[in-house]
Amino acid sequence: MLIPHKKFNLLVVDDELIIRESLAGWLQRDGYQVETADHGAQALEKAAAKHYDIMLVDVKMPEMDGLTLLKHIKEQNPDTAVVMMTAYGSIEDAVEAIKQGAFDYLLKPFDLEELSLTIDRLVQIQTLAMENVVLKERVAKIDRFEELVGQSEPMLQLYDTIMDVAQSDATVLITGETGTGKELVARAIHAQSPRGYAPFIAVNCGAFTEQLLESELFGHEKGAFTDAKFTKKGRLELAHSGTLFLDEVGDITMKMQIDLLRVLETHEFTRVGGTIPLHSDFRVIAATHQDLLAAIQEGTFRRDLYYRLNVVHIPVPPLRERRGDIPLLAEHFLVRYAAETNKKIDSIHPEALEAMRNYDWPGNVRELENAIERAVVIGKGRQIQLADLPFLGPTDRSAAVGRSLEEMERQHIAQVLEAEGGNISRTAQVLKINRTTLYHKLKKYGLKTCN
Amino acid sequence: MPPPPSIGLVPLGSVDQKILRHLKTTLPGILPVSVQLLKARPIPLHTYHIVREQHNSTQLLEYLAQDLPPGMFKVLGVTGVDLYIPILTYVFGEAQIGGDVALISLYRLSQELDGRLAPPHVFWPRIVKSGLHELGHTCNLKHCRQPDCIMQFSGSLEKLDQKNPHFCDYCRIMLNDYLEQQGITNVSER
Ligand SMILES: [Zn+2]
Ligand SMILES: [Zn+2]
Repeated sequence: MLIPHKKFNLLVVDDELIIRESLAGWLQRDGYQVETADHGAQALEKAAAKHYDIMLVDVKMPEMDGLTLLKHIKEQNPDTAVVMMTAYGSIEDAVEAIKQGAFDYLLKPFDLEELSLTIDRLVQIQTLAMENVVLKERVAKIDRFEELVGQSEPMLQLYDTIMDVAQSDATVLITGETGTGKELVARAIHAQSPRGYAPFIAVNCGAFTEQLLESELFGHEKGAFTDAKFTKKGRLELAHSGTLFLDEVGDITMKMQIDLLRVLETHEFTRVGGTIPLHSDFRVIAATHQDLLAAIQEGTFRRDLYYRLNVVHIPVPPLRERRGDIPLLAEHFLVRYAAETNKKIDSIHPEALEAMRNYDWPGNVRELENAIERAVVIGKGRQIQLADLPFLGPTDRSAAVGRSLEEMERQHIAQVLEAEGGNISRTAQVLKINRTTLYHKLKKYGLKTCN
Repeated sequence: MPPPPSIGLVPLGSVDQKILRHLKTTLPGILPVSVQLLKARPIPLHTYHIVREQHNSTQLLEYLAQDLPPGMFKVLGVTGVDLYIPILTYVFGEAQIGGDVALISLYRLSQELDGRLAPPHVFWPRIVKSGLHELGHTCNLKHCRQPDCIMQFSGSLEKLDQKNPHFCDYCRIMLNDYLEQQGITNVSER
């Protein structure tokens, strides 16, 4: 049985309050995060601002009916699985919906077993899809050794902290926005520490389902589950005498939190399906972009685990708080990508550099790196121009391979915005999102209207 | 050591005293609680759905929560009528997550898989298991995927019959966390 990742988001769309409430309440009991919308437009608005894995949509609704909503969702959020909800009278509509890409339909009122089976099946499919994406990403950025770059005051402080912390064996919690380089900090601590010659084993906790994470960490014995054809060592074992890096530790389920706490306390564990206790000596460095104290308040993160991890806390500053480092970083990436692509590009136009310094970089260093990589690829002369930078100039789709969804979105919005001469209403129409959502996204990505 | 927290059993409508007494003696063996039998309350008419011929479980829970007997840690309502929530055909019970009240229906639990009346050795364990499951919800527990845990979701009698009346290690830890948060310490490991 596949166990859902705790981040599964569901949206219930129904015009009847009583249905929304009772269904949302029931699904919450299964541990899903559930939100509701009372009409199609609201559902689309919500889906534009946030990703939902599964939507349960009523067929019969005033104004925008379920079938129309389905069509929009399939265009706007093709990764969202849609389950139609229907009464006996409108089964034909539900069947039509399946033809148009709905995953399944449920007859109101639902049978307990049927509801949970349908959702379980979907979670299973969505989980597999998610794992494929993760695998692809992993292949796409096969570790090349990278280092921390920066001479700004916050970075100098960070280097000091790293050197201090490296000498001890204390558990470290690294916090910071995505793309700030939390893993680089962890690697630096490891490299400077007495464990530096032993392995550095990283686990991205957010990338696995509970079951997979369990077997990744603890390993499994042959035959422990259907796919366990061989005995496999877990990463806890592999990290012996080295450092275990738990990335996105805020994403793990309550059950895994309990298991992890136990291991951190005793350093003993058994493989999945095994009985022999194993011992491993490793140092733990954890990282998260989440606010764990808030998660504790919400009851989704254990206080005891938090204290166990947060012996030393290292916050990594976002790029916008160390703008002084932007030219240095840009230069650093320019040298690398120019060498990789064999192109003779060796400088950045002052105008382009200025624009980079003024931009907020919500994706932080990683976003800057991607921007430079792309600029090198599409650049024609020896100098990177303002027009080569995706957040201001038009984009070339072929260069966008392997980038994050967020960045694709930002580029796409920037492109449409320019094509529409900076007109907000027309841009929103083309993007099929409403103006509020568009404003929200413009702000998020630091995009400016041309007029 | 402080006395264990009390669970109040409230019959809604007429309920066989033997069943209530069975719950009163069984639950403290599994949860660190004492159980008190409280006065029966009538089932309010507005919770009945004429077409479905069932009672609205959410509304019955609200009714139960309206006037809570003092000094109770949790209240478990027990009723003989069939329960539904609007989106589902029926439910065995319902509880407010992290709330004060839980509710179980004996209606479906009392039947054999073929619809005949179930004998006590089949019927009674189901009542205990349903009660435990719903009380677990009032202690903030969600559905659990561990095999052989009472907090596993069971939508059918077959699945309910397969379960054992106990919490897995994880649910027990989270249950203890909850009890501690509520200021109930010295919880014995039972
Ligand atoms: Zn339940
Ligand atoms: Zn459990």
